[in-house]
Amino acid sequence: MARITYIDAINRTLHEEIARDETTFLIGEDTGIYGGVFKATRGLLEEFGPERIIDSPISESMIAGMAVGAAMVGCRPLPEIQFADFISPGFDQIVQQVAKYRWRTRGAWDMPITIRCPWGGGVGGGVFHSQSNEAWFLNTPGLVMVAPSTVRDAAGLLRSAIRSADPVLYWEHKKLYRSLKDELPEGEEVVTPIGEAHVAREGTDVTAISFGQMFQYCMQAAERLAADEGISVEVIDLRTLLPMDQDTLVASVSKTGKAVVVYEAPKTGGIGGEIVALLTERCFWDLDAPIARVAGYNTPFPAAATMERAYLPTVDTIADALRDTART
Amino acid sequence: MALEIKVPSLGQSVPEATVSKWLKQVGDEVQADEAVVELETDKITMEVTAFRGGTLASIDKPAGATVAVGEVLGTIAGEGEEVAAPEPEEEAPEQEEPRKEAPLEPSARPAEEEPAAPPATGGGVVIPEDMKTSPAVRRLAREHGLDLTRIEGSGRGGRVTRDDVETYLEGAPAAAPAREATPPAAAAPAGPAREYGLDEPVERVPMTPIRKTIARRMSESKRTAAHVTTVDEADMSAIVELRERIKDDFREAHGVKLTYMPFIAKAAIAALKEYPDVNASIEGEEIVYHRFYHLGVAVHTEAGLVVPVIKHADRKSMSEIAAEIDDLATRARERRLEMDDIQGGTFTLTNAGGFGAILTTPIISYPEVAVLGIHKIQERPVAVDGRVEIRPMMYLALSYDHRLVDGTPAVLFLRRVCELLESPERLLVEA
Repeated sequence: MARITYIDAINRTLHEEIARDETTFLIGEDTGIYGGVFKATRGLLEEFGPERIIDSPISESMIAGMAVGAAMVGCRPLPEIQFADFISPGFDQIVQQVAKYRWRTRGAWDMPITIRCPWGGGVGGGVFHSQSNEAWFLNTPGLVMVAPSTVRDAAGLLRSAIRSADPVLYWEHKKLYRSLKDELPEGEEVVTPIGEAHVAREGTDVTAISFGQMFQYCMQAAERLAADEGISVEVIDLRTLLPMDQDTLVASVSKTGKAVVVYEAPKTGGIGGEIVALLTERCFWDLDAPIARVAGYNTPFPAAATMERAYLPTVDTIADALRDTART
Repeated sequence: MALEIKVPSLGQSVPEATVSKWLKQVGDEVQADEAVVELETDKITMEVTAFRGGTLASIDKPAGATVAVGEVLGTIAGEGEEVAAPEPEEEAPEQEEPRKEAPLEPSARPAEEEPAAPPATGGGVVIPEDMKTSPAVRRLAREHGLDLTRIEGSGRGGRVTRDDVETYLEGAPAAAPAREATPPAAAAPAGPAREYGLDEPVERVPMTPIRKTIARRMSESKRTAAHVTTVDEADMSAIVELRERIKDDFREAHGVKLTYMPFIAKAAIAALKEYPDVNASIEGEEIVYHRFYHLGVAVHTEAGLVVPVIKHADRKSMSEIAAEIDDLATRARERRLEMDDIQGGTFTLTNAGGFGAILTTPIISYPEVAVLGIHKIQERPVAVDGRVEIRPMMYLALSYDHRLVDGTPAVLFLRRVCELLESPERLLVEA
């Protein structure tokens, strides 16, 4: 089986889904002629033409807003936000319109929109090209949010998102685009169910909960701790951020009694807080240590390479937190 | 309109009862004031009667069901009213309900326990203040009655971790070292579940309400009172001879057998008057001296240990005490005691001698502060004025609560009881 990169898995899935459903169309900045700043949408314009692969002006509010209008008349829009950081101009359209139209129309108007958002740090992108903005939307019922951490889920979650009648924010990690390569079967429709977390590695001493690039780091830290120090880490890949798979998390932490949540965003008010709250609520009588959060600092994302390295959690700092919690 | 049969008041702080037996079936005729159903609560079996006559129309709570005060047990239909078809399912709920009772019982004791914890299983739950204990560890300690200071801690700073507790529970045979020694009657309702081999058949029987109550009270007493037992012995020859002499006449005159109990009761009361600490109680930081004498007399029944109380025993003659002990014991064995019969004691007598014990260390009937155990009268060689003589001797054991009663008064109290028994004429003169 051929191994492809995370970004190629996205590209392939876009080709397949746009071919499959003629109501789909893609709109974004530089997505057509240029094939996307990262080349995620390469080849689509040639295959499907300018009516379905649209180069947008620099206006995220228009990108999101026109998706709402298109969805109202029966289309299945696939807008792209060039860098997740830029989503803020489209925030109003997304949280007030996209998220609420089904509710407001008692189901008459679904918003089957999949908004792709390249996110995450480690690419030297600086303040406006490195952020993790999932927390901005966590509190908006009506939205679904997924964040693939593997090549297979990049394809599987995208397919599920596009086919879903719900509006989905699809967070694709730009560092993983080309750093992750894995097998993906051709000619097979790989589907990852939305709303299911995945226990990627079983363990008994402490549970690591994460997504995106940090998930990959957690797996590496777990390997190292097992091999060098005999600490058994259970690693959970969240996969869906909203609605979160509470049961899988609760089952794991009830078992291990200890947890560490890892995310890139600034610590305060991040998704980690929500996870810790729900675990405290449901696992309190099984907790054997405080739940730790490993996250970014409460500062804007730094530009200098040295600062970026210091800012983001690393395999080392994650391993330290896991060891510390396991040994409490 | 159909008359509802409701659960009457069951006594102070008794919120629930178990339906033990329906005396009538659906469709049966019921007279006014006739007993319709039996309820079992604590140590009491009580009958619920119909206010008016009619036909038993429905049984809403079958035998085995747990009911609260005020709940509808069934209905009685008057003339011309409908009667529900007899319940064919009555058998099945009977099997189900007792099994559900076990998990329900712990929640019936909210006032005494922490809200989220099941009752402690034995004495000795110790959660040290100076150790970092996690929610999981504390929960396990409460559930299994563990003393955390006795478990190896492998966590940071010597902390006992959840793993440490789980390992301990798997390893310890009956988790015995972590608990104070308790008599068999105090077996815990929530001990660690044990796996049995294929060749280790077991029979599981849900605890009856009486057994659960005994378990709880024994545990509570041992956990609260600082139990010490002091022993003395009495030469019972005078009492034995006296009883021999008068027992037949006594029987004829009063219709009850004269046992040693009334003599001992009188001696105990006389001594209580001289040592008021032994007839007191602790309430918070106050000592409550009882200026009255309600004597509990422990009775062994099939269902378990019951302690009916002789109220104002000091005002009663020996024959009255004898008659009352006989009546209470009979009613206890027939499960016909009322709430009033078993509440309010200030001191308790317990006799293990009937079954042959020569010495025991009885458990105090909390919140009393002492219990006097009497035993088998046994002929033994003893020294009397420098010579060896065979005398009928009896050991008396006083278990007392050392929080209130010190050793000296306890020993002196017991000595006084023995003195009075050895010279019963003193009871006439001094008591």
